[in-house]
Amino acid sequence: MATDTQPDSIPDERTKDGFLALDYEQTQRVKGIGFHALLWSLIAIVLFPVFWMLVVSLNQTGFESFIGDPVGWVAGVDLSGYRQVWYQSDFRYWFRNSLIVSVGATILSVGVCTFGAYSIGRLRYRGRTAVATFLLITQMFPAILLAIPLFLVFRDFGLFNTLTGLVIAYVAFTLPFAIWMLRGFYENLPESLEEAAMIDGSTRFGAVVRVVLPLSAPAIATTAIFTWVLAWNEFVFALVLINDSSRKTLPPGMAEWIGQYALNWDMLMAGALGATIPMLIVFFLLQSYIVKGLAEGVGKS
Amino acid sequence: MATTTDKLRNFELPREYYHWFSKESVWGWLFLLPSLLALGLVSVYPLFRGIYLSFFEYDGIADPEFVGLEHYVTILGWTEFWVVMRNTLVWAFAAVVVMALIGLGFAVLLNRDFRGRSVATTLLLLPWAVPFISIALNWRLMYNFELGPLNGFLRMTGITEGLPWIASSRYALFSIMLAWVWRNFPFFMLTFLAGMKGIPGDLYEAARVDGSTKLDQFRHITMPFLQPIAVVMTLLMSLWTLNHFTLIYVMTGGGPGNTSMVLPVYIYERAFHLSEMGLASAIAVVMLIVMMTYGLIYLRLYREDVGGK
Repeated sequence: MATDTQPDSIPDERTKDGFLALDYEQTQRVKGIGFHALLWSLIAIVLFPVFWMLVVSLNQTGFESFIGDPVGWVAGVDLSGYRQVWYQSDFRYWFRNSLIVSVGATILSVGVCTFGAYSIGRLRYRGRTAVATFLLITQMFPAILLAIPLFLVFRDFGLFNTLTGLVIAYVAFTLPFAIWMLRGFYENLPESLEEAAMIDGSTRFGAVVRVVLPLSAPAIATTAIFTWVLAWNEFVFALVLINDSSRKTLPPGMAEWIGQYALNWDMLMAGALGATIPMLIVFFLLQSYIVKGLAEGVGKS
Repeated sequence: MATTTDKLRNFELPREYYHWFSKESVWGWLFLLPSLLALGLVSVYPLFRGIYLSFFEYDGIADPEFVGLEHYVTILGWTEFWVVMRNTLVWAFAAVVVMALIGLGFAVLLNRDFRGRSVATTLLLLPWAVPFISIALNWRLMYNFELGPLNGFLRMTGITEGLPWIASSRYALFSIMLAWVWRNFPFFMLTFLAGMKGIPGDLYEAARVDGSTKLDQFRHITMPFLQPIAVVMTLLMSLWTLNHFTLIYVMTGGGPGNTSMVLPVYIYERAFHLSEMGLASAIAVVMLIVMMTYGLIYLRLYREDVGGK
């Protein structure tokens, strides 16, 4: 923090008689400007790659020519990159498949993990700590180690090269993280709620469905977002378990462009942005959930 | 918070609560059943089958042939394997340290009141909303020799004619690491920020009265408070980094000449391009051992921070 090298916030003789002869308020203002300049230029650097993705997707150019002649860049803007993505590749199938697989896996995974997380987070029984530890340990399994046998099993059971198979793999792949995220929420939920419902004669299951689930809707939504992002990004299983181009999801599909369209940067960037759009929509609609989830669910475990 | 309630529960409950067939226990296992079933089928079973496979010579088609520990002996005597192993560890270690530091820096910047704070937080979180495949393509362009902005900028300032970045054996792994750090530092930023908000303000007040500097306050108040969060985050992030595939596969494919090759990509190539499924499984088992050792040592050292009992 560059601003902190200046004298600290106590107005004293030093600041008044110093080299710039600033009084307390002026010092504060200079510090404020310095802080904002630093922060926003760092943000600009962080966001630059995304900005550049947009620029090149609209009109392929180099950095120096862009800076040297921005007007020329604007004049040359067209959608040929996007047209190429849509008409000359299987992007539209990959996009659809990615949506099917991610949404399907998210719904199933969240349905299953809600009960698992409730069980580990709330109920008291022998073995629950062991299960919690086991979940953490599954995170230490290399995905590629599981992918080889999974490929063999799926081939034997006719699940190879099907989206159903991929959904099944993704449910298991996302479960431990989802349970881990939700667990903390149930640990902190007041217990009197389901107890009241159970005194009124419902079973544990009834109490969970009627009382606990509605209350945990925001936490479940957060978990769903993270599960969805994991599934949208997944590469190894998608690469190993799908063969036909028309059944691929976005990541392995687009990876093949590298060999085929190495020089069509406008097309590559148009595709890269296209794959980002669903994530951006989720991101801007649900950002408060995401920020909370990242800060609390992941951090505190 | 969670740990105190847990302690209360554990001390005050009558013994029968822990009986295997108590109502709560039966419901507990019933609720867990679907999760355990799914994990058993798609995680535990493949794990053991993978370990089993590592003792066979198998190309995916012909009958597997038992070879015992031969694959392991082969791997461990292989220079190539050790190069890949070293790359994997270097990449995971360096990436996590760098992103934790950058995340901490941004958390410090954002941990004060100013106008536009939530906008700044959202914008800094944006890399997280870009899928890996798009990041890989995007950063390939960033590093492109002629069109790439990085070299464009270097040429404009006149420092060099441009660096080869991912095309050079020297910078390839480092360049991929930069993209990975770019994507993941927001994780650390947000969790650190949340941790800083939880620190009681009067601690800083007292420290200021005692005349300690800002750096001292940071070292003796902020850092200890953030430690538990840092522990959980580094553990998860190291495991994710060790497992990560997309950026390396798409940006360099491990090249040039294995200089940016890491274990997941290497195993994939062996298993599915060279059809050496048994050998690939053996390498994956070694990787499993590395990850488990790391993870379990970490958990043991920091058991309290991770929230175990």
